[in-house]
Amino acid sequence: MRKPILSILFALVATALASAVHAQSSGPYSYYSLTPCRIVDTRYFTGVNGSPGLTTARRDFAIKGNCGVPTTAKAVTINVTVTNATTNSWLTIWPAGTPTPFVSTINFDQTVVALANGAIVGLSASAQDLSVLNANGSCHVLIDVTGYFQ
Amino acid sequence: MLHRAARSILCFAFAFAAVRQASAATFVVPNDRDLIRHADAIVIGTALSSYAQLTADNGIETVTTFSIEETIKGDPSGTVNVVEPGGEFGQRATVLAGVPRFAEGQRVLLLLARTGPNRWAVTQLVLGKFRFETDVTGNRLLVRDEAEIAGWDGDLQLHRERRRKAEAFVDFIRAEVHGQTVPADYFTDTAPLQLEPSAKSMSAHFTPIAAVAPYTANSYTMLISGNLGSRWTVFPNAVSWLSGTTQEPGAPGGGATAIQAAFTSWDNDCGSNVNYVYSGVDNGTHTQGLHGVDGANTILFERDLSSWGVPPFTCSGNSYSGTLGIGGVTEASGSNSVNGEAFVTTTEGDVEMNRGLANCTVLFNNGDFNSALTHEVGHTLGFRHSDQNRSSNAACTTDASLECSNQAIMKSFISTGLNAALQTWDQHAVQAVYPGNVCAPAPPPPPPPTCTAPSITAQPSSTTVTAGSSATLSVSASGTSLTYQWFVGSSGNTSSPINNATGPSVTVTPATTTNYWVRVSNSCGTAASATATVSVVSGSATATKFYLVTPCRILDTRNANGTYGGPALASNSSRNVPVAGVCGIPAGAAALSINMTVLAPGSDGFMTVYPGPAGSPIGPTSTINYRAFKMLANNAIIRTGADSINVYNSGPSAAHFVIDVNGYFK
Repeated sequence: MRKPILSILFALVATALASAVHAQSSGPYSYYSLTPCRIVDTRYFTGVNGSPGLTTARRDFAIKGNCGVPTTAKAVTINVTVTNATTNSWLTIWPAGTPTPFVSTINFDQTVVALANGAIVGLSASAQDLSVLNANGSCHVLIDVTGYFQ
Repeated sequence: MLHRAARSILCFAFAFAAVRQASAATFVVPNDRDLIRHADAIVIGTALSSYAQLTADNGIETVTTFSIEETIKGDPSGTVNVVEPGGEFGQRATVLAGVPRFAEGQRVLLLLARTGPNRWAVTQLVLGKFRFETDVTGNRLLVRDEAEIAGWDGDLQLHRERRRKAEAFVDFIRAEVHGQTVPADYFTDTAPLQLEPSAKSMSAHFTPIAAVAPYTANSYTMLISGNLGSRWTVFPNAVSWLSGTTQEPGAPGGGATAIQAAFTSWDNDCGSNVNYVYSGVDNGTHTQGLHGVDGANTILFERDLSSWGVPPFTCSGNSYSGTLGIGGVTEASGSNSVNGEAFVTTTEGDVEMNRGLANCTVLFNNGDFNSALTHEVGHTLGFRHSDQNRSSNAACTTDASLECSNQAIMKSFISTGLNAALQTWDQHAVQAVYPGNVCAPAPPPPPPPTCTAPSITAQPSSTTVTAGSSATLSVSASGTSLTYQWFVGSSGNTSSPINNATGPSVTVTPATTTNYWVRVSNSCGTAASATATVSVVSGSATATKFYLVTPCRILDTRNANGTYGGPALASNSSRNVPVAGVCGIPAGAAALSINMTVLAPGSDGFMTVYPGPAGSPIGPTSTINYRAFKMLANNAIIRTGADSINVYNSGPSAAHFVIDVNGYFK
């Protein structure tokens, strides 16, 4: 009977930490749709939004200034696709330069050829404004942007 | 024949005045009004005759008698005797620079200073003498002896001696003397004087000053005897100098600093062997200066020069004017030669600086006091004025055998700002008269910079913008003196250069997706950048807001065939889905918030949802990746086009799908 109690306690602590970190909010923002545009592809692109693929090290991509996302954008609507995963894992995506939030954006297992999820993510003010962290193993990530908020 | 003694005084005068400005002093000749007011007498007359006589100090002076035609100021009448230092007496000769000289029959306007009973001198030396001339256009003028040539460059503009219309100037003087203030509007633009060479020929041998070769060593010196100048023969051994017991109040080192600056300038010329050494303050036994031979070379300060018609220098704050000093060869005898040219041998030189310079701080601080002493010391070396002939009574340019310059320490009216530094003419003079060293060859000109061909270090990056927005492309390149030209098109296609796109960056606003490249060039090569593509995507021009709708299925391909039903989407094909008017979506909605499900397809693949209308280009994007025989969903916010969306199936087999909507942006 003791073990379940312990795990509940751990979960509560983790939730409390997460809310403390993500207490900020901003807005309201208006939406500007874009023709869908691939903005990150670690398989084929070169440069900051290209290869290599993700390991368990954080990567920071440059969203503003590409695909018609203006430098004034505060958030983007994206579709995140994972491929070539080596193990079961998940990605956390968040505005660069802020502490890694305790969230997941897409979960996947190593059997998938490719898996996608839609998301709305905030952008930081820096040039490399979007952080992506893969939890386990390695994989490639593709991001298509379909619009932005500002 | 040169064993006769020639006691000579080479004199020279500076006239300095400062415009009353708070800024740095500008040097001009003292204005006419001040000269007129300070003159003891002003006459118009004609030189009758002149004779030389000895002074009480065993010097030579010349008395010229004028027949007075009009006395404008003062009391002379009939005739007046003007006495100036220098002249020829027996076997002795003295030639003076900066002291007026007269020719018999010359008609002049004289501003005089009384120096004794029936004894007068021209006030401020040459500044007080005007001779009547006629220019080539027939205008009657009054001109000074100072060189004055229209069109000469450089500082002459500041020191320009302007010609005066004779009648108007005399009328002005009459009015001033009678206490009337009238405008000084008697100056006239200059046409060449009759008998003057043309301006063109003057400039032809005035510029450029090339080598010393065409000019003799004597041509740089004052006339002492016959056609000869004088020079020291002691060098490279030292000639020792003393300064007087009266120092220059307020000047650095009591004047010694300026003496050292002057000596350093002449001594350090690399192509000559002058060696003047300053040995300190005299013991008080050498006080004659230029007035007599005392066996010492001296530089005397605060001297009374009134017997030569020179009033004390005036200096108040930033305003000063007058004659700074006189310097020259006090005694010369015997002969010597240099490079085959004969000279009289200098045995004593002296400099006398005028009274009134004390505490003229501005003059001490701006370097012009140093320049003045350097100029005087130059006269003790025998040199003439760079802009006057060897007798100091005509412009240098009137004698083709002379090198002439208006930028020299030895210019009659010193150029400001030189701070004792020898100029080209001065260097030519000292190297011609005192040859002794060889200047190190000028350092070879730096080799022309090696041209490094351009090399691109950072290519311009492709980018995507929304229609109507601009993109900036930049290139980085290494190389020498690079120029840039941007082009529309793929790399190497020069058919469409972009106007004014000649920098390392260019900002473009293409209407459609466009390629660009840049050519980087210099004198030794070119480099072409890679092609950069500016992709143009359509996007909202205006802000949109989110509207919720009750979750609603727009389309299910499992239903009967129709606009919002079947069939399954075939492999590698698209279909268009109109969205206005269904599920509460209004016409003009900019984007939809959807959830899309792919229903147990026969193979793996992906679908892409993208804006309508039917037939719109599909970009390399995806909306959902599906797996064979699995039910998978994904959400998306998708821009509409023409109130519709398109769905594309990439998989190898047909696939059923469902689109649900939960809101829209408008």
